[in-house]
Amino acid sequence: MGQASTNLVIHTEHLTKRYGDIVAVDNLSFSVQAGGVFGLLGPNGSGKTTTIGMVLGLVQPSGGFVRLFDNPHSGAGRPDLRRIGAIVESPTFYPYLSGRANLRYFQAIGSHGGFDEIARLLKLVDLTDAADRPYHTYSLGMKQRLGIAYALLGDPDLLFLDEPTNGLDPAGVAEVRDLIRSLGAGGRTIILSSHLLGEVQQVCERVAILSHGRLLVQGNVDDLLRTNGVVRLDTTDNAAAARILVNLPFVERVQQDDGNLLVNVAADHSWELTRALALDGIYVAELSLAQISLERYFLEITGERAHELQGEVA
Amino acid sequence: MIMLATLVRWDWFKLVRRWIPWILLVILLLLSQLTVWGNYFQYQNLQRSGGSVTVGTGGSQRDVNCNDVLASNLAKLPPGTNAQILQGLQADCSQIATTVPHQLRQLYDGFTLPGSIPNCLGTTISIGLILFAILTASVFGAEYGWGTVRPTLIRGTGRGPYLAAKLLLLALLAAGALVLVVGATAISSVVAKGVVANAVSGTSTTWSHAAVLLGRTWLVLLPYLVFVAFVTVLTRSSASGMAIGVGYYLGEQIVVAILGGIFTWFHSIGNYLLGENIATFSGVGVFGGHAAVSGLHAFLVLLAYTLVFGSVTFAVFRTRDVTGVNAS
Repeated sequence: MGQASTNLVIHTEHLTKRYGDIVAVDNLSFSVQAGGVFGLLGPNGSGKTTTIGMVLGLVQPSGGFVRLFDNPHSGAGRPDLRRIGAIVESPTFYPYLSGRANLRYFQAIGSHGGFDEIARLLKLVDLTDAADRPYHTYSLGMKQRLGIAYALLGDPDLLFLDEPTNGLDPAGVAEVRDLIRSLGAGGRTIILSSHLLGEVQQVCERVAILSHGRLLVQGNVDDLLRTNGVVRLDTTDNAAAARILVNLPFVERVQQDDGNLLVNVAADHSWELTRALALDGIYVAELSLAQISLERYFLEITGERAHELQGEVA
Repeated sequence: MIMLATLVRWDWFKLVRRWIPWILLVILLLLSQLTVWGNYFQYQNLQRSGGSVTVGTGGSQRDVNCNDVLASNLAKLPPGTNAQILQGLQADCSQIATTVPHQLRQLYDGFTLPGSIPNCLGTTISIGLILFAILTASVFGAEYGWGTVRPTLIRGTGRGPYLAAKLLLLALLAAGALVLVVGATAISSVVAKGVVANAVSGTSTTWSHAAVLLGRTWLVLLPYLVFVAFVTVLTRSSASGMAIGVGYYLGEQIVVAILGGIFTWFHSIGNYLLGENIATFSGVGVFGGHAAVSGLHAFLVLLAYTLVFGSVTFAVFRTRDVTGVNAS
């Protein structure tokens, strides 16, 4: 694997893509540091795939620019792409060629690697036995695994994986998750776009969340989930406790969650929860700082911010 | 250049594993053989019969061989042929007999070297244009259908080299196919000449003429190939490329025939149409007719078509977004 010359593998500024009146990506500026697994999240139509397309030179930006490995972006065919592997949306290959022949073709036009690399990648994605079967006979999971092998051709520095576990069985999902983790640990940068937020939370150190083509938030996963200030409570009467807490001025929200209460409260007020409840004869059995799931955080932030964005547009 | 050569090589790797080029090549070779052996059997038949005349009226009409008529072979003539009828038939056959040697020379030329080569090129190119339109549309359009434009570009392949490699491969394939057709024609011609009885002498075709026609036939394929590539890239569909590529081939002949017959001014437009100039430049009778222009005019018009269609194809492909299957 080649060495990235700078610490930033992707840097976009004011990246915009319009299709007529529709703005698919709106003034998007973000950066991805080298190394690790970076999650690119967003609801359908949020602009993830269009953004990846612009980064890869497949989609022409209407405005702004992309820099890869600190080199100016000038469209497809630039040498930077030889340091990148990608599967975008579902993998597509020549249906009449075998899995091995497909990899051989894409390896050859990328001008690197040998037969041993193909054998190694086929083994890595568990397709050795089916390597010489035509691609059109592959199951969805096998196609997906061939897509991962394709993306890994040439041992790229930067890897885009768009829904890489789509069509895989649970065992396959676990295998791919482990593979992504190990690839990210090896110094490579992986951009993972997935709807399976549990999966993203397990493998990504950093995420960016898009909605309506705009960046809502970007940061370290643990920081994003922790700084949200959620306390998990179990009391002698959770229903009564919820009614009391929701009226406190420093409590933003109270939700039931798996027999407990999740209370959104500013960190310096959390001790006051116990006092307020005790005054009403309700006693706390358990109190801990809760880290909400990425899924819940995602739903909250995309719901709230999307609403704000729509308000801005209106 | 190295990248282009690599792409051509690996486009060949993909294409050679598909059925379509082989099927089209077999059709092309069969057509060339039909031309050679068709001429051979017509020659044999004409020599045996000396031409034919029709005897009788209405439902009782039948053709009789002039050789039988001129030899007064009444046994081979219809019953009831009297001396007066025979005299009339012999007069007709005597007139036909004056053209038979010329026809025999033409037919003999058509199945012996080197005359069989332009003869075959004339026949095969008419269908060859359709076959190459189908192949070109398939080579470009199938990539859109399978969604393989995107993974190819992601590997760092430039858009210009991507298109150029396909066009170059198709041009090379066209040359290869024509060489194979000529080769197969040559072999059949040698065999036909070896087995034919009563050879006639005197051929009007020279080897250099055959070579020039071969080169011109290949050259006229190129603008049509670029035209079909343009349509296919523009529509992103092999079906559209095939339909418009083949449809234009037939449509231009019909339009020229109809409008040229109605409006005299249309002839000047016809002089700038693709098919008319292909017919003129190739000189092998493709597209039904020939424009009333010089070979240089035809060459320049075809060059202009190639450059314009080629430039627009590259410009469209370079600037257009590449997304998913059938929408690249």
